Amino acid sequence: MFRITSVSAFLLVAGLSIQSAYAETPNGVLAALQSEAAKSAPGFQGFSAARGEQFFKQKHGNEWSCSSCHTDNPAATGKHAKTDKPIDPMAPSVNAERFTNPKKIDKWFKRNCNDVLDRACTPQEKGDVLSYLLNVR
Amino acid sequence: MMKNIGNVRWLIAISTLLMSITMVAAYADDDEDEGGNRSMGYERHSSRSGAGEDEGNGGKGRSSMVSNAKWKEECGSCHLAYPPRYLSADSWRAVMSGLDKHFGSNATLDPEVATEIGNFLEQNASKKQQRSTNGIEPPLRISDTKWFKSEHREVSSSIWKNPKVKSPSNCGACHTKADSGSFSEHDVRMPR
Ligand code: HEC
Repeated sequence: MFRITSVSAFLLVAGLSIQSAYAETPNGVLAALQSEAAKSAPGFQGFSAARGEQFFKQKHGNEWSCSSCHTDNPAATGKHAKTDKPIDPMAPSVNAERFTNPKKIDKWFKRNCNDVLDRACTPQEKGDVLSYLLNVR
Repeated sequence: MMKNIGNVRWLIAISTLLMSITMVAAYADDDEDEGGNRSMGYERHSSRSGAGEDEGNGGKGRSSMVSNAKWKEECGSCHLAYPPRYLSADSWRAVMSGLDKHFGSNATLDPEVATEIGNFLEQNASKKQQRSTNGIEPPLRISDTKWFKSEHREVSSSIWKNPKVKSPSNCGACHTKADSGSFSEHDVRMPR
């Protein structure tokens, strides 16, 4: 009987964790970006938080920079440049939900890079930005 | 040994059953929430003094607070998730077919999510044909409908110009319960 309950409890827990699969950590996301960048850019030399900060705060030919909505301080609550709706902080150190859901990350990089740069961001740019955000305490 | 294998099969069957029960329970929860919102919306709607204002936009018995998790999440991340009842179905179809250039932003969705949200919007849309004030049909903005202009005819221009209002799309600036789908006059507080 003991074996029956423990085995089924195990299977139940295993089943539940499959249902909530795809949870990631920011460092796991960074590692995935790293191998993507290494594959797509032959001269890849690693990510730079300083470059990421610059990228995040600069305009790229359009009306908005990343910081127009996420503010210059990624540890602070942002504000949507058009609608004023508050946006939770971007730095994983203060917002544990950030960079844990690959689908959500892809969706917003796609949209926001399009708005700010009129193109997709490269793995290098994404990794630089994430390195910067991970550095913010 | 044979007996053991039989046991394991049996265990897998039971655990699978348990897992599906937990999943079903999660879905049932969603439904209940929606039902709860529905009756709340109905009560508020029918008990308020200005009842009838919204009638053109779907009728009295219809819920002020129908909800859908994907609609709330996706439409609500940049702005208020505008209630479907304020535009007619043709407007929502037009909005959903132009998400790559959604009022100047890229708001593209996965196809399955877009279909689910589109269906939700159309099913709960205003039954009355909403007409626009600027000749562009169907209206893409709620604030471009004749109904909206008429509802807000008593709002002075100084309020519209208040930086806390910023835009007629900013419902929450005055409708303090807009976020939960209630636009009752009781809950209106003009910013100073
Ligand atoms: C017009 C406003 C706006 C601009 C500009 C903007 N973002 Fe965002 N961003 C948002 C909103 C809204 C969300 C989703 C709301 C939320 O998750 O709190 C978001 C979410 C994200 C996410 C999801 C993170 C996660 O895991 O939750 C990433 C990554 C992101 N933005 C990166 C960027 C980058 C990089 C730029 C600049 C190229 C940028 N954003 C510019 C509004 C903006």
